Amino acid sequence: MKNRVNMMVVLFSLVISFLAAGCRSGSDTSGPIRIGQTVALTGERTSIGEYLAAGAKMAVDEINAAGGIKGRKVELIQEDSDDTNPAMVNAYNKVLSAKPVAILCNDVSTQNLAIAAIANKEKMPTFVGGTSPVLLQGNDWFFRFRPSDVLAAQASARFAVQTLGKKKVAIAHLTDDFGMAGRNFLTKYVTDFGGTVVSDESYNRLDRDFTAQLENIRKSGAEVIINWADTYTAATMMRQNKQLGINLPLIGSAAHGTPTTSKLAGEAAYGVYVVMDGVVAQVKDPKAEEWVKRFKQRYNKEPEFNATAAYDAIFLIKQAIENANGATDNESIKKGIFAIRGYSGIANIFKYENNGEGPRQVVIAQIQANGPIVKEAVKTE
Amino acid sequence: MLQLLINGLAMGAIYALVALGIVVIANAVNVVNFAQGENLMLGAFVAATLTLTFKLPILAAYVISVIVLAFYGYVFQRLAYYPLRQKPFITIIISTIGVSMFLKNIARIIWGAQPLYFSGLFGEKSIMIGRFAVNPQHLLILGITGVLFLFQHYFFNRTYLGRKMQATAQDQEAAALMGIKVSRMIAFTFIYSSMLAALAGVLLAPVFYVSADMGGMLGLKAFAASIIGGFGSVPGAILGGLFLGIVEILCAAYVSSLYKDAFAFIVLILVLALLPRGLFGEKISTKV
Repeated sequence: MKNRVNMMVVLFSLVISFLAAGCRSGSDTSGPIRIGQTVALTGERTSIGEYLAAGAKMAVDEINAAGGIKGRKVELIQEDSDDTNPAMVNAYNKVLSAKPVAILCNDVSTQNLAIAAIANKEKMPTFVGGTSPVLLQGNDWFFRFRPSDVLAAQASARFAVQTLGKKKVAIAHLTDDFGMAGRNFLTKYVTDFGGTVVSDESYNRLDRDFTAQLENIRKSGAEVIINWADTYTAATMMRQNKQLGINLPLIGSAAHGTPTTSKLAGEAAYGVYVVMDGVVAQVKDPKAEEWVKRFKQRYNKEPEFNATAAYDAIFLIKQAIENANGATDNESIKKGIFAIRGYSGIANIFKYENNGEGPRQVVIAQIQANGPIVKEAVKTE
Repeated sequence: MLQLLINGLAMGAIYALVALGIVVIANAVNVVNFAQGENLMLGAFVAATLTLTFKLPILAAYVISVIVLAFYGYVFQRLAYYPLRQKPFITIIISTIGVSMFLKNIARIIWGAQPLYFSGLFGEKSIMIGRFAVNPQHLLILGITGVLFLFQHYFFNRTYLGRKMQATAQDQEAAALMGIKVSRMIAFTFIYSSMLAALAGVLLAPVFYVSADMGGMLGLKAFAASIIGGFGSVPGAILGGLFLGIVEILCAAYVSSLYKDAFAFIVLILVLALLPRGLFGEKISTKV
């Protein structure tokens, strides 16, 4: 009896090890290439998570339809990062266990920072959608697929002080990593360009009443407001700026220009300036126009920059692997990314050189009844 | 300053409405309904769907939403409270927390992730009085809270049904001995509380935008407001709410907007430390 049990155990282990050997990871030279994505599928920011997930899925499906990367199919593994740091960490770890070649993270800088230590330890190429300038400090495995806030802050400050000619600037911002870092760079650039910051007001992301903040801004004599917000707070600021009779010109961060925010803000959004990655619907490029048509056909809604960015990110990974001649281990992918010196995405240009600062362009657009109209495009080298 | 007071009062009135719903149930069955914020969210979503998808006029959407939530209130107490009514109150509180999580996620499944917006009853333009902008929706909120205060006073003190509900709240056993159908009174209490939540939700929709998470922080602050006003006291809930709304906005304007949410809870801690029975609370006495 004992012998038989022993035999069963040995046989069983042999079978398991054969199966395990067959299920090897994406760093193999055959089998599917796995790309992970942690994105908000539940929680407060699902309205953005949906677009990030949609853009990535569309890219993966199109790559597979065209034959995959170097003949290998791409598998997209999406995990829910909800809207909290712990959930993000869980999602990232779950995706890691599937051994992907790269992971796309959502657009929340705070949550990106939460997994930085893991990314560094695992040496996992991670594309971060957050725009905070601090994201790349010390994180050698982070690569941007959305432009840094340094670029956005610089463009907004210059637009306010020089283009609009308003020297007295009020800065309103969220209290999270994104908002605070944004405020720091805005203050620096407004002063650099010759303006003065006369008011600095902040709010939490669940705050829906900015009467106090706007009253203080009014009292300060500000001539323009630069607002660093997310979907709900952007809508609230745009509405109350008009409702309270303040009516100051407003330059907002990217969230001010998404279709979701426009629906919430309604007419209050008209005339507001937005600094955003790019307005894909405005790009006079057949590639972009075709892309918008495909997106609308597939998802039955207007795309926005998060979807475009995630789509570009997947193709950037594809480009990196091709640059590395099909190698998918992490060092090769990193070298492959650094070899990207001028990739034209759907609505942005990417150049990595020797760090993760890939996207090189932001635009300042003004929201009109029929959508955002680009006023200026700002590029860095 | 006047602008701050006007908006602070309006926000306070919302806290008061939600707090009322919490206090009414707490009085009746000695349980804090932590799903009150989510009931509010449900009311807002129902009204949003009626207005946006079915194109009903906004007033009709308000009224129908309140009626729908009345039915929901009955179902809610039947499923989440009634089977547990003999259990310790902590069990029932956890049950309401469970309902709150359930509602949040079911809302996401039914209505999707995108937030909704529909305008207030009087449109979106503010009324300008000199320099001060008054949002007509805020006036509506204040007005309805005032009417509700009077209505509740009349209903609970002067009508037979109201007095039966009060009796049940004071002492279920004695009420039963008096021939009052206790379970029916409890059902009415939940129905009334849900209708209050629906009212708060529809009034708040243009200010907070309708999303699955709109109720969370509100429910917490309303709970804090009811404690500040004296837990269990109906005028306390209303005045606690108004007080909280004003204090919050003044602190945000004159001290620091960075810590606006913190002020609400700092006030709560101060009240608990210095005046534990709240502004209008009854002396805490133990039954012997």
